[in-house]
Parts: sequence; structure tokens; C-alpha cells
Amino acid sequence: MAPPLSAAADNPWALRSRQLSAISRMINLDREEADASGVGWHDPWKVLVYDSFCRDVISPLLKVGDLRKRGVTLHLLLDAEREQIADVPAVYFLRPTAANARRVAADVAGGLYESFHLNFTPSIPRPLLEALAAETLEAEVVSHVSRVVDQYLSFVSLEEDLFSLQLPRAYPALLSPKSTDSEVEAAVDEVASGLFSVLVTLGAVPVLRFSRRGPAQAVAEKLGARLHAQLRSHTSLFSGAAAASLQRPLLLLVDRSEDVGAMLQHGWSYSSLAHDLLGLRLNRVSLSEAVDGGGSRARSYDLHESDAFWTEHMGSAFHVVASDVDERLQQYRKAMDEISAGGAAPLEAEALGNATKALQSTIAQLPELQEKKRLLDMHTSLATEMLGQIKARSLDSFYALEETLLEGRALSADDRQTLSQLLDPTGGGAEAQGGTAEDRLRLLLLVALRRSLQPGTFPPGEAEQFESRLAAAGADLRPLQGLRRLLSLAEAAAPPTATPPPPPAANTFGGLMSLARRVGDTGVSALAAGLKTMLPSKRETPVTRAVGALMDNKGAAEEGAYGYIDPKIGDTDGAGAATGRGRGPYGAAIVFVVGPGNHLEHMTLRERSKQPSSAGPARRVVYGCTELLNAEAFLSLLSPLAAA
Amino acid sequence: MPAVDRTAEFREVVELRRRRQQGPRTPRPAGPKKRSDFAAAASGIGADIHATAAKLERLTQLAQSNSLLLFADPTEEINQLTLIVKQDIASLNAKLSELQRAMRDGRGSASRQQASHSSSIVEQLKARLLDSAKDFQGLLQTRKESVQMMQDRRQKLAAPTPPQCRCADGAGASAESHAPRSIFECGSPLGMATPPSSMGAANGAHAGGGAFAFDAFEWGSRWGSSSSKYLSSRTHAVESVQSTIVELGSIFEQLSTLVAEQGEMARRVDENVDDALASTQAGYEQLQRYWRNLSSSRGLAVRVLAVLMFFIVIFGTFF
Repeated sequence: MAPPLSAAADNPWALRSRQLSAISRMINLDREEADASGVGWHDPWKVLVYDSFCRDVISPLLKVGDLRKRGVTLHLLLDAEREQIADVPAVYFLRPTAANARRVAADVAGGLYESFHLNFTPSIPRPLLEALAAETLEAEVVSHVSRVVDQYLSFVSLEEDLFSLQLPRAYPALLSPKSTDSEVEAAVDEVASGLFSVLVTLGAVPVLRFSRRGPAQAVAEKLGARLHAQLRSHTSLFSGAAAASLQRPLLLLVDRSEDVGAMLQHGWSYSSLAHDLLGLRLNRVSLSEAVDGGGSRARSYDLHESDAFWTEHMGSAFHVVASDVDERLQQYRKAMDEISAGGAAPLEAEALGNATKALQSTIAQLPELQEKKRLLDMHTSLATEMLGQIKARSLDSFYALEETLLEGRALSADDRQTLSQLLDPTGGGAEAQGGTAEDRLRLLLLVALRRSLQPGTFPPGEAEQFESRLAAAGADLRPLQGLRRLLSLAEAAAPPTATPPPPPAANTFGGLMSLARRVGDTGVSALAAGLKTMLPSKRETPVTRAVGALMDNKGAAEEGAYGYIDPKIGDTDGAGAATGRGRGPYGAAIVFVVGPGNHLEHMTLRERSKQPSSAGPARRVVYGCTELLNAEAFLSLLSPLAAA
Repeated sequence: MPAVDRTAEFREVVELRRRRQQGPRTPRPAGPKKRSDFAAAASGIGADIHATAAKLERLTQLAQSNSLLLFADPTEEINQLTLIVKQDIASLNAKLSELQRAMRDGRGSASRQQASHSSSIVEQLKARLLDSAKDFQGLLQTRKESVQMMQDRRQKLAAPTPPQCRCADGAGASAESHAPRSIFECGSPLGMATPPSSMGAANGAHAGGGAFAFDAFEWGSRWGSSSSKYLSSRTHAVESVQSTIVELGSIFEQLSTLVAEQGEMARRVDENVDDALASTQAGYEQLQRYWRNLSSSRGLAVRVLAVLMFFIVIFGTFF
């Protein structure tokens, strides 16, 4: 039915399609999808009730129209006011919390719907099940509960290779020194059970590797124990045929502190710009646009996988996107012209039949063209908005400089000058360098990060000078203190292995061209011509390096820094680590950042995994994190750390 | 399979509690609940649409097999099925409008969610019916084309029609039975091709009676008569197909008004909530503005009152 389903056939790691088919099955009351259009006719109507978390799970996957096609007439929040519709079954999709269970029991007792199909994600614990039974038993309506099912769908899949556990409270709880043991425990548990859901949906038991810094280890141990227990119990979630035939993947858990830079850097690819500048959330961005007669109106745009332009250009550099949008727009205009020209052609009696046919095909084409136009308009307005911000904030200069800093290359004299210019809050100099306070703060944090790795990069006192200058301008420097604390915490937790210095990376920006400013033409590309043409980052980050080394599995030095758990044999690091593990390369990996992630990191990983490796066939890398955050939100996450 | 059915466990827990609490007791039977008339009607229409779709599929198969065997044309069956499907679609359309009317009438009594539930059902049914009707129309279109194509081909093949064909009308009843059949059948009266069942008897009689008694004249007249009959039947077929297409057009019009309302289909699940949030905020702003208005007018009232009091005091003391 949906196009992603075909993608699932050739890619066993297509997370999004797998989740979609699981949710479809749930909504179809476990009848097979084909059955709905098959021999027998069932009344397909039902009401879908979800809580806010499960709504976030569904909303990037199924639109209202898709739900309708599957017979869902109403979709309602559990907590919203719901009226009685006595002759329709209801599908509940909820997290197993005590409050939710109470509410469900009240619904059942009130006879709100004809029958109740209760789906909990992840599994509902026994005490809650008993509470639910007790409450429905009181009201003698227990027979209306048709089914109780554990779904393992507690994650939001945004792309085939991108998921978020949507746990905004987990990382702060793990990070904050103030949180109690039970809070930390609960957070670890939540993260582990989210990951468990992902693995169940993929139907694979991976080999766990985890960094020994921070909470990644705790999560890995919890997850390993859970997988092991599951494999030993008789209700096997991993007994599918697919699981048997597939090669086992690698699940790499890294800590956010291993690569803080990725969270702070400005992006240059389309998706990371959309995330950073426009606040992409659950595959949707909102722009406020001016409305006639004053005021503004928020307009949201969907960016999803059925949009060919988006999938093609997610990782493209901004100027490529801009010129391509223009090109497509020209193509579209041409196609429209052709159609109108064809319509105006003289009709002769003989050609009438053919003309009618042509007209019919045109009419059939029109909705398609309209949809194309809508998407193009959307991308045009997105690109225009991005361009406006890039120009106003000189984000191209920020990006280029940050890339140099993170790659660990030596700074040239020019770079140093730009740096001091960019970090000058008064924006002095003839060519005024823009940037908001937040942009400067991000750059400053990256300078600090570079210093912590290579202390000799800056002459003594220079960085402090930047800091005091920003502080004098009234910048809030708490995130910087927070970052220092985060790094020191991670250092303290890490075993005393020397961090390998970043290898000299290839100079991808050798030919940084700055094209002449040429404003006046219409079209985004012409306006964007003034920007530097730069490639989106393809550099090695600590995470990509770790993924590469661990997937090769050749016993490189980096492997030592990562712990090892094989849930199949309950093998932890100490026991048979060296003997038990196979020495073959992995074909697929799930990279999970314990902490926030962003689209920049996702794109970097995707680019790296596309590159040919010694392993031969293409590697599949699925990227996930506890939540997707842009730099602004990440900075506000760092601030409270400073106070502690 | 990422789901674990725990219904059994749930039932077990329920049983356990029930026994512990009040001893064994038979659970109140759920009983077949009385469904509302609306639900029953909607269900019936849904099943009918499903059945129609199945018929349509059969029709499509027939029409497709037909285009492969140009001259063995199951016209009769196709025509019958076309008629049936046409009637089905028309009656379903009528039923749907009735359902919609009933829904509108009952809207006053039903709750808001109930109403949107039922209207969503009607919309879905309409969309399904529209899909079927569209398929049907496409099918008729191709059918028309193939009939026309066959006709063209036949005209080319039958071009050297002898002039005697004028007197073909008197050639006898047996010739008429050939009308819907192909030229090859006429040319080889041994009945090599299987005749349509409805005309089997007449054809058999003909084949037995005069099969070997052809002379040139009869040959010619037979040729011409069957050809003209065939033509007229074909013209008739084309006309009926066209009229069906026209009838469908009116049904489309009725249906599309409703389907046009489905603009919300591309909406996302979480958008409703945002809208609700936005309207809540708007409401709050209005309230605040009202409050500001109120407080400013209250200030005014206080001032006016003070001035009044002032005057009253002055008047009271001096006059």
C-alpha cells in the first residue's frame, strides 16, 4: 500500500517500514493487511485512542488519510474528552502507566465503545495488568476487553535509518549530579526498553559494544541482561525467520560526551539546516509567514520519505539544494506550458478521439503535477527562509571555520582573523560579520572543545580573551561551564586510555570559492550565489571512526575502548570476550547515542557508511538517540550543569 | 512479530480474582448488542460495495481475455455484467445518499464525536464507491475502444461486400442467429466455433438443416446479412457503453462533492492538537483583551463616580 513497504523487501534494516507494518497490523485488529481487501468483508470501522507519546510515534508514519483508509474514523487522545460511540470497536495504543490504565478501566466501565483492543508499548507489567483486571471486574464489563497486546514500538522512526526514543527527560536525568539513584535507574531503564523495542521491531539480536564513558555502559548492561532473559524465556520475540537468516548486527552505544562537537556545529546539509534553523521536529517544520493585514500565521510543512526531492537532497549542501529547486521549478513550468499548448491545439474531426484521450491523460496528470508544485513551493519557501538566516548570520563563515576546528587542522592566519571577527560581539570591521549571540557561543564552545583535545592550538590567553569579550557583551556563559563539567565528568568515568589524536584529515576545503555577490535575479539559486560553495561535512567524527573500526572487527586499537556483551551467550566483557567473539566484519550496525542527537550527525554517518569499505558490500547503519535536539536546545541543556 | 498477545494472561488474572472475590460466578454474557440502524446500514453498503468490486473484477477479466481473442467475444456475458454493475452502482449511490440524509437528520441527537464518526464512515464508503465507479468507467472506456477497433477491422475485412446484400432480409431466420458471431463462423458453417449458449438451439437447427446446401447467392446474402447485423449489434454495444458512461458521469458528480471534503486527508495526526492549542491561545488572548477593556472601563466608571460624588458633595454643602 505504502511505497516504503517495497523498500523493506530489499533492506532488512528498514526500521520505518517495519514499524509502519507493525502499526498497520495493530490498527487492522491483527488481521493481515491483504485480508482487508480480500475475500471476506469485515466492517473496518474503529476508533483509535492514543496517548501523546504514541501519537508522536504514529504521526510521522500515518496521516489522517492513511488512518481513514485503514478504517479509523476517529483518532483521539486518551486524555481528551471522549463521547460514547457504542457500536464501534476501539483500538487503544498506550504506554503502560498507572494513569493510563485507570483511564482505560474507566472507559471500559463506562461502556464507551463496543469492544476494547488494548495495545501497550512496551509491555505492560503484571501488577498493572492485575489492576486493570480488578477495575474492569468490579464493573462486570471485563468481557468487553477483546484483546490485550504488548507492542514493542516505543520509538519514533523518522527515516529508514533514523530513530529517536523521544525521551526528553532521560538525558538530563542521567547527566545531572542532582538526580537520585532511582531517577537515574528509571532513565536507564527507559532508554534500554526503548532500544529493546527497536531491536524487537528489527527482529535481530545484536552484539553489543558500548563506550565505557558515562551512562552508555549502564544502558548496555541493562539491555544485554534483558535480551538474554528474553532469549531464554519461551515466549520468544526473536524467533522470526528473518532473524535467523540475517547476519547479526552490531549495536554500538556511545556517550554524548564522546562527540559534543556534532551537537554544536552549524550544519550545511539541507536536513541539518532544517533542524538547526527551522526547528524540524518529527519530520515537520513550521514557518511563520506574514499574512495580509498584519500578524503572522504559522505554516507547517511535512518533510517525509514520499517527497523525492527531500530524500535526494537531505544530505546535499545548501547551494546545491537552492540551484536544484530552481531547476525543478523551471522544469515544472515547462511541463505546464506544454500542457496548455497541447490543449490549445486545433481539433480536427479525425483527431477528436485522440485529442479526447490526450485531454483525459492530462486531467489524470494534473493532480500529480499539482502535488509536485506544492512540494516545489514548499522547498522554495524553506530554502528562501534558510538563505535569509544564513546571510543574516554569516553561517557559511561559521560553518567553514567550525569544520576546520573540528577536523583538527591547523588554523591559518585568515582563519584566525575570521575567528576573532566572528567572536566579536560588536560585529566590528568593514565587512560586518553577523551571527547571533548563540552562534558566537557555539563557536566559543567549539574553541574550548578543540583546546581540550589539542591544548597547543591557541596561544595562551587568546581563548580567555574571547570569553571575556563575550561575557562583557552580556553573553550567558553557563553553557561553557556546563560543557567543561560534562567533559571532566566523562574523563573521570573513562578508563585511562589516551584519546587518540584526530588524524590529519583530507583538506576538503582546499578550493573554497567565494563567488561574486550577484543579487537581483529571482530564484533562490541566484541569491545563494554569494555564498561559499562548500561540501557538507564528510569528516571523520569520533563516532564514525568507532563505527568503522568496530564494524571491521579486525582488532584495531580503538576496539579496546569499547565494552562487549553478547546477549546470546550472556557473555560479558571479562569472561570469554577474547575467545568467543567472531572475527568477521559486520554488515549492519545500529549506532545509538545515549543522549541527544541531531540530523547533522545522522547525515555524517549516512555519508560515511555509503563510502566503500574494506568489508566489501554496502553497510547499513541505523542511527538513533534518546531525542533529536538542535544546538539551541542542547545549549539550554548544558546550562544547568554549570550550576551544579 | 513484534507483538505479544497477552489476552490469555489477562483473562487468567480476571478468573483468578473473580474466584478469590465472590466465588465462581458466571460472567454476565456480553450478548449480541443491538447495533444502531446507521451502523447496520453502513455495514450493508460496505458489503455491497465489496461484492460489486468483485463483480467488477470478473468483468475486467472478461474484457481483458476478450481483447486477446478478437473474434471470440463473450459479448453477452459482458453486457449482462455491465448492466448488473451499473445497476449496483446506481443503487448503492442512492442508498448512500439516503444514509447521508439519515445521518444529517440524526445529527441533532447524536454527540459531536458520534457525528464525525458517522460522517467519516459515509465519506469512506463514498470514496470506495467512487473508486469502483472509476474502475468501471475506465473499463467501459477500454471496452468501447476495443469494440470500435474490432468494428474497424471487420469493416476492412468485409469490404468487398457483394451488392446482393440488400435482399439479405429475406434470407431466413437462421441467418439472424448469426448476428453476434464472427465472420469465420459464417464462412465455415460446420459450427467450428462454439455458439453462444442462448442461441445454441437455433444454430444447431441451422447447421443440421442447410449446412451443405449453400450456393453462391446464399453465401453472399448470408455474408452480407450477418455483416450488417453484426455492425448494428456492434453499434448498439458502443451506444450502450456510451450511455452507461454518461450515466456514470452523473453519479460521479454526486460523489465528488463529498470526496472534495476530504482535504484533511493529508493532515497529520498531531495537527489537530496544535490547532486546538492555537485556538485555546487565541481564546485566552481574547479574554485578556476583554479583561483589559473591562478594567479600563472600570477605571473610567470610578472616575466618573468620583466626579459625580464631588459635585453631589459640593451641591449638598453649598445649596
